[in-house]
Amino acid sequence: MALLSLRGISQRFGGLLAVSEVSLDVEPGSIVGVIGPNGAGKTTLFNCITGVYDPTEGEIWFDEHRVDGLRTSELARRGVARTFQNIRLFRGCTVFDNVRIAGHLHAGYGLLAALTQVPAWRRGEQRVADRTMALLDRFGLAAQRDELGTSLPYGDQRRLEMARALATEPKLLLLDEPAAGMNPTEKVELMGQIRRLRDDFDLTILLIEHDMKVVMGICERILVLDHGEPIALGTPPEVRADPAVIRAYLGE
Amino acid sequence: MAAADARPQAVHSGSIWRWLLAVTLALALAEPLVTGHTSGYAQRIIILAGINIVLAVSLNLVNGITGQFSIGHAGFMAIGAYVSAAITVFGGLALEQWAASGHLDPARPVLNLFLVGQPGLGVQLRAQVWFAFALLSGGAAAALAGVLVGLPTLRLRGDYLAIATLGFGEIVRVILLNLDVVGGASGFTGTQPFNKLPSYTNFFNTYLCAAVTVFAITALGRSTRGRALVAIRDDEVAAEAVGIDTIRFKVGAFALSAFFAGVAGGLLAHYLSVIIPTPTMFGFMRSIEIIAMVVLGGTGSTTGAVLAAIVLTVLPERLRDLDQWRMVLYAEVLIVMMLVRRQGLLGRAELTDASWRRLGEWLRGGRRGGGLKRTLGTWRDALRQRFFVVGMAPLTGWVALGLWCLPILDLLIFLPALGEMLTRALNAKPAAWLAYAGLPPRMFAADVVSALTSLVPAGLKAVPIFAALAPQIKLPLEANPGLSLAVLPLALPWAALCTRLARGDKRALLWLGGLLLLATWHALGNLAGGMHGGRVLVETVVALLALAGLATQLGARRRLPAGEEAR
Repeated sequence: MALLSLRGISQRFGGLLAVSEVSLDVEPGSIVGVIGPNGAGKTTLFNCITGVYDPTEGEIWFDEHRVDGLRTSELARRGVARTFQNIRLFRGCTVFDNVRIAGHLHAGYGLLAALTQVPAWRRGEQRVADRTMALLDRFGLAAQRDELGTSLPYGDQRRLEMARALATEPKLLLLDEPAAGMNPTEKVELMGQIRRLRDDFDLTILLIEHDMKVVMGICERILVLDHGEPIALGTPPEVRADPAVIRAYLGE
Repeated sequence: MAAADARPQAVHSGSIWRWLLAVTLALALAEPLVTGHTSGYAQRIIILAGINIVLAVSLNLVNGITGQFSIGHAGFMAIGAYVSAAITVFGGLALEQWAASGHLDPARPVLNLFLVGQPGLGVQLRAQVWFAFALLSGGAAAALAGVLVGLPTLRLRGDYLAIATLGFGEIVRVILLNLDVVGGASGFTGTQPFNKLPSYTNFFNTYLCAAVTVFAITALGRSTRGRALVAIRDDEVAAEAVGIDTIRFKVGAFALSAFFAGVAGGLLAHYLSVIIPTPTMFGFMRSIEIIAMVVLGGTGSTTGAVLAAIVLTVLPERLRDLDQWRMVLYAEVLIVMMLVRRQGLLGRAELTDASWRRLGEWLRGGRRGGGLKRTLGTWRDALRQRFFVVGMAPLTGWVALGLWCLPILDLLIFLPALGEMLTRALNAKPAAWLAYAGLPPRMFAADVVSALTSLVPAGLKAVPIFAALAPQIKLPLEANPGLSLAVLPLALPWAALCTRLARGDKRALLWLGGLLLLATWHALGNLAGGMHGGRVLVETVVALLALAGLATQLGARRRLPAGEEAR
């Protein structure tokens, strides 16, 4: 059974059909890429999956439950985490707090414990802090934990966003252009990192990426969108040879 | 996990309960001192400051920590005040009657706690238990209103939320104004003459409420839920993406904030013994006052809110001698604040024991590039930049200058009044120590101050336009406290207009002309003490200029190149 299953998703904004009849099954543990020219509807598709939009047509199934129409926060609770194309860190929060905030789902204490500061609160806070530090170590950000998240270099901000997404303990991680703005060396590093993340955290990853080298290098399957329509779905060699894809990218 | 060892800020070590216990004990010890050794006037200020602490700290939860701009806090306060007052008046009455009619056994201990009128030991304690119940009910009613108002309005953002909450506050006030059962427009004083609204509020219970408020909001801030609120302020979309149900959290924060506002309202009602739904007590003016406290203290800082609540309660009282000028000063404190330190006294930081250590280090020129001298240098540079517009972005520069002129202008007119107040104060009290120092009592600071301040009117007369008005200049002037704020919205478009109309020196001259215009208007308004032919004229001219300024701004946006607009 697929972890995430899109069944005929369409998203319409007034007269504009941003995403049209997209179907996709994402198997647990796989890395799937979504590519397409600018304006193809990739981010709209992500927004449908994460509950930012309620798709006009079609169904979304996640972990054997129908999830279209649920709020983003509810989806995050069920195990869908994401990063953003234009980084969205918590301005004014330290690196440590950016990740710690996202750990709130697994603190294991309630409002009453928080207001009375009983031992359950202390233990919960310690647990969240430990997990946060472990994640920061993992992403090489432990030394900068007291700096403002937004003051980090661009690549570190992207890594911090990923650490924050992982702090929610997701099953499915959606990465929106994780390699944007990185140099070739960083991109190679990122590819290895994404693969290791999948293995270590037991993740399923769906990613949008423009860089063909990255997409072809790490994705097991690739969905190609053009003008909101799915034009190809298959393994990297299949997609690369697909005449419709070549047409969409290079023209007639 | 080597880095995990040195982790001071991860979990707070100090027990907040110990703190609350210490505060309670300290309050209990201080109570007889305060009630026994201070004047009624001082006690009044102290208690009002305590109530304002509850209000400011609770509003800071919504406006500062969660980053939602609510200006309806007084509405919740009103609900709490009226509900708790109704409970102590009607509830107390009903319970007494019920007990007297034999339905209730006064010997039963729990119910007995509520029977205020029963004679014997602990009458006061029973009153306080009854009062606590009334306060909690008032808070609960306000919290319920917070949920009801919050659910539809917290989907709005920024100005829209501000307007919606403003509307809510006024609705509450107008409803109370027309609710005859609680006195309507003439206010609620209980059911005279048998059951007056009792004065239960005292130093101890006021400051206990303040301590509990600070405690609860600090504790919340140290938990995942409090940090979720900060996340909502910092980026709502990202907060939602990490599983924070933004609507639920916002409504929750709103309700908790409203709860404490309701408690504060109950305290105020049982302090004043008369509550009237006027704008200054429970309406728009009160909301603005609370916001001023939050802004001054630093939006997001609980200790800042406490400090600002005390300052803004005591300061207007200390300046009472200045009559209406104190309101001008109040406004100016805020304007200068916005110019010099937009983030408020403390910004988002909190005052803890660690901050005292840091202060010491900073004064000694310690590790973080501090040092008093260096910081003063930075401030001087900042001031220089603000006074001399060179190098600043044109519009910001002009707006900043336009704003600066107002406090300075007011200060010119205000100085003599200040001098007179100081003279009075110095002559009245420290005569003894002056004599002790071998100085004639009437000399010294007071005379220096009055000599200096008398120079100001003389200086003003040197300006032709003031010279023309010289016969009329008798400072201190009768002032209209609203004036300084009224000039503000006019000064902004005027500065904008200046940037549109000319460049360089011409712009400066143009701007100076406008400044003179405003100044004259200001002086005329002050001298006339009311609507005056000249003032009406100048006011109209300034208003027209302001409109023209706005129009050029709007026009400029429309004239953008087509390419720019498309983006």
